[in-house]
Amino acid sequence: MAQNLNARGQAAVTDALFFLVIVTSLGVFLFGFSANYGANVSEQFSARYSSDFSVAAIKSILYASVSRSTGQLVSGSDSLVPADTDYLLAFVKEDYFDDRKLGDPVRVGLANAVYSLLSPIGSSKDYLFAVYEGSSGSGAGLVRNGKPVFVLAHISDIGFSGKDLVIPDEKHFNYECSERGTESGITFDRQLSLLRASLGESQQYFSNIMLWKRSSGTDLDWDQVPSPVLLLVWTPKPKNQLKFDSGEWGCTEMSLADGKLSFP
Amino acid sequence: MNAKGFIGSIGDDLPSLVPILFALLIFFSVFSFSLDAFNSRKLFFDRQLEITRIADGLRSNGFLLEYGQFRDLCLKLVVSRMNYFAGLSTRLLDPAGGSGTVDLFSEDFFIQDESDAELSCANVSRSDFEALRNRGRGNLFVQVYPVVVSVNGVVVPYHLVVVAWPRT
Repeated sequence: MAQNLNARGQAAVTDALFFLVIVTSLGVFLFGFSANYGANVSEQFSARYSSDFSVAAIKSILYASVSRSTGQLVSGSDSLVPADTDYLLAFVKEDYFDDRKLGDPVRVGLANAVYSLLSPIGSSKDYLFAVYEGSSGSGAGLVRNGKPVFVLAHISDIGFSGKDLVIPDEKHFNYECSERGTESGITFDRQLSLLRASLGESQQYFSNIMLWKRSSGTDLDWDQVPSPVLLLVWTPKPKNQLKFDSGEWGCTEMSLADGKLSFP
Repeated sequence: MNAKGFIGSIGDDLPSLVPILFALLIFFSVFSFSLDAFNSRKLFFDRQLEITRIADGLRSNGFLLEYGQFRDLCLKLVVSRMNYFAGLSTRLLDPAGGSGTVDLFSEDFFIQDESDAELSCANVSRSDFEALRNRGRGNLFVQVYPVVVSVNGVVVPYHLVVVAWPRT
């Protein structure tokens, strides 16, 4: 009988140990669950804010007015002199009409508008803002153009020195890439696709504007050119991981002084 | 009868109480930690939703017809769980070369309207907002959005800056 009672005591301890093991396993699971709880929701909040900001930025860039004399965005006091102002988009359309290219003053004005409006995210994100000619025609007459009208690339200067990652303080390159030739033999669409593929996670936002170009016939005729507006935003990456070569893209590096971009 | 170590029918179960109590201690500790983590995350998300709602209410579709529309939108806001201070600013359009810092709490950070009064929307006083400067920023939520305002036919770009913090 003593052995029987002893066996019962051992069984009770064994049961308790099994209970401890089960509860510990549940505890580990619960701990892991609570550590990861909300990660998806947090990402969705960030994505939603990023999306709302970028869409608002595109809208602001396309609607904003500039001073005709300086080509720069108006400030509140400029609104008292409406005769000197016009829509930035009107500037772009006027300049594009004759030769399907933008002159330096319009490119500088547009670059500064983009740079200013995206400045809250400019130090932590890289971006590319592009206006380019879209497809025209349909069916057999479909022409995929993709000629860039204006491209501003804001890219961090992150690189490697040996095995060490080098991140200079607040150093960014600002490239304007609409002077792109065709020597590389690669279309702008294709270059954009390669860049997007190299970015990994990125967000892109589109809008559409209508440009007009002089028809090749008479001075009185013009053709519509539907033009996508693209804003591509990504987390900065080392330069050697980006499919972005300023030479291939035909870029000119813009200099930054007193918060304003300009061509050197 | 050989009864070495025999305490009794209940006494033999006493050693098994140790792992059981230990298991209960582990379970309730982990449960309490998880509940605390869940509640704090939920509170954080609720606050983020609240500031997003404030910002969405003030910026409308991103194109404001006049400064008056900003005030009208402000009057329609109903915010009960957080304190907030929002306004339009030009300071972020030109942040001193992209690497400069701006003082969110300075008097000239937000623009003024036609009557030279600060164009802001808040459910606290200016002094309460400025008092945040010396507080820890842990519970401060800030959102910035580009917006444009049509003034006398001229479309002026600004940044809508919304600052919110929990009520104590």
